[in-house]
Amino acid sequence: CVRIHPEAFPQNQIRLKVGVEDAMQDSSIPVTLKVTADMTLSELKEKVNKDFGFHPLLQTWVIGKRLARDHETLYSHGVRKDGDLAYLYIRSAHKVQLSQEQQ
Amino acid sequence: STENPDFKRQCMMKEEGLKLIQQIREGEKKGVTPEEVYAALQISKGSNVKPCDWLNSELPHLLDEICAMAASVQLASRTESTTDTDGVRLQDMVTFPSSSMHLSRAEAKQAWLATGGNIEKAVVQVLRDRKAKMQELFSLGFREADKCEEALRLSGGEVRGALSLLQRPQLEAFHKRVWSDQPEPGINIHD
Repeated sequence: CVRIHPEAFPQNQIRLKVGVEDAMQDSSIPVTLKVTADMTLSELKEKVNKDFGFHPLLQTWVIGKRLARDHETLYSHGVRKDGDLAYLYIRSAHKVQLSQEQQ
Repeated sequence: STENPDFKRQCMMKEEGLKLIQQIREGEKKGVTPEEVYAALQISKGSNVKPCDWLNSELPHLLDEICAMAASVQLASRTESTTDTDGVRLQDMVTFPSSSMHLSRAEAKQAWLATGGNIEKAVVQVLRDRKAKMQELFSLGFREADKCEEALRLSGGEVRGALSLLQRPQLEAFHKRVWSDQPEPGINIHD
């Protein structure tokens, strides 16, 4: 497994535009997150959990035409600059079988 | 033109992302997870079939195919000597020519979803997962490969379920005794 040295990533903060969606909402609610390109999706999920209170299991991230997986970085999905865009789809807690206490 | 060179790229991110989001939303309304939708799209690309329809009509066949491919890979690797395991007796079991390497659709599906719909990777993954489960059962004292394989198949690849299947016979005698006519030894309360 090839591991990219952290310095290979640009360290600067990127303002990522995020469109938040779920099954009910039919247009995105836009938010902006300050991220770095070397962040993994699980780190991003943790940040969103901390900032907005959505459990990582409820978060599905779509970047471009791909569904992003936990170990992947934002960089690997082409996130480079301010204004780059991702979608956060919030699943129904009922379907994930998550209880309020777990949240 | 003086157009921002990132403009087009960001437009693509938006367009393609929204398209996938729309599919995911439709899927969730029908009880299909985003991972299922995404994996289905990787395979049904180019066809006009909706991911949910594809999952209903085609997925079972694909899962059987993954199981069959995995079984043939496994068979081929068993004729070679494997030296990659660290346990001494473990090697014997893992390479023991089991006649019944039957993977379940449940395991194939798990692997297929985990690899984002990539069939080749799913075959490798399902074998790796199965091997780890066999090793876990072995470490718990179940050392007959055929029985372990069968129990895992019946339990849909769940170690917990396989464990209860494997241990049931051990408790058979207790079942019999529960219904036996032998009188219980009396207890003398005056002793």
